[in-house]
Amino acid sequence: MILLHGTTRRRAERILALGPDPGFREPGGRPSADGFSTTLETGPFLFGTPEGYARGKAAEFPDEGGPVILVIDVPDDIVHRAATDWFPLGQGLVQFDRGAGFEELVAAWPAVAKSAHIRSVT
Amino acid sequence: MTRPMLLPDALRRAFEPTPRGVVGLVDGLLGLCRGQPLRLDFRDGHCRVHSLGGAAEDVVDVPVPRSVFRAVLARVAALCNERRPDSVTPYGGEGELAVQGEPPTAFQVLFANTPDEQWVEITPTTSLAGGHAVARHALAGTDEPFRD
Repeated sequence: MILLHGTTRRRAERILALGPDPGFREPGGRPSADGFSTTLETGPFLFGTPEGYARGKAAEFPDEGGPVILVIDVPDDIVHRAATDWFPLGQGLVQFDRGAGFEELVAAWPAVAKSAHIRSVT
Repeated sequence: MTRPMLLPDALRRAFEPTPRGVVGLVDGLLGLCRGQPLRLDFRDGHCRVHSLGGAAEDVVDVPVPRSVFRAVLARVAALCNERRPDSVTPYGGEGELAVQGEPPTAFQVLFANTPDEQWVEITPTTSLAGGHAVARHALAGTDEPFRD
C-alpha cells in the first residue's frame, strides 16, 4: 500500500537511510517519542495533505532542503496493524505507533526503503 | 425525563474511542464547544480540558495517546483550511472553522501542534443562550452529525 509522508528533504533522506526514528530530536527540542505519521496515497486527507505538512515543516526549518514527500510502499499487513479505533483506515491517516505497527515497519524498513523515493513539492 | 449530561462527563465520553475515530472525537468536542469556549492541553499522556472562564470543577483530565491528540489538532487545522485555504499550517496558528447542525456554529481557533507543544483553544463566535446549550448538545453525544 502506497503511503505518503510530508517533511523536509533532509529529514526524508535521513528516514530513507535509517528508518523512522521515534527518538528524533528537532533542533533545540526534546525527543518526541512520537510514532510515524503517513497518509494513504489515495486519501482522504481529513487531517491535512502531505504537501501541507511538507511546506509547514520546511517553513519552520528553512535550511533543510525544502518540502518533499517521502513515498513508501508498505506491506498491507503492516498497514492494517496501524488501523485502530482512533485511526480507522477509511479516514486516510495511517499512524504507526508503538504496539500499532511501528515495530513491524521498522523491521521491514530495509525492504521498504529499496522501493521508496522522494518527490519534490512545488 | 433524561438528565442532561454534565460537561466533565460529556468530555470523558467524547474521548472514548468509537468507530468514527479522531474525526468523531473532534466532532464531539466541537459540539461541546457550541456552548462555551474550551482549552485542551496535552502533557504526559493526558489531555486536560477546561472551560475558558468556566467553573473550577469543569476541568477534566483524560488519558489519551499523544498521537491521538496531535491528530485532533491536525483535524482542527484541516477544518480551518477548508473554510479558508492556507489560513493555518498543520503545526499551529489562528483560524476559523464552521460546523453545520442546529444551529450552525462558527469557531475561532488558536493552536500549537509541534513535538514540544500541543494545545488548542476553541471559542464559539455564534452566541448561544446560557448553560442549557451545553447540556443539550452534550446529551446528544459524540454521534450527533455536526457536519453535513
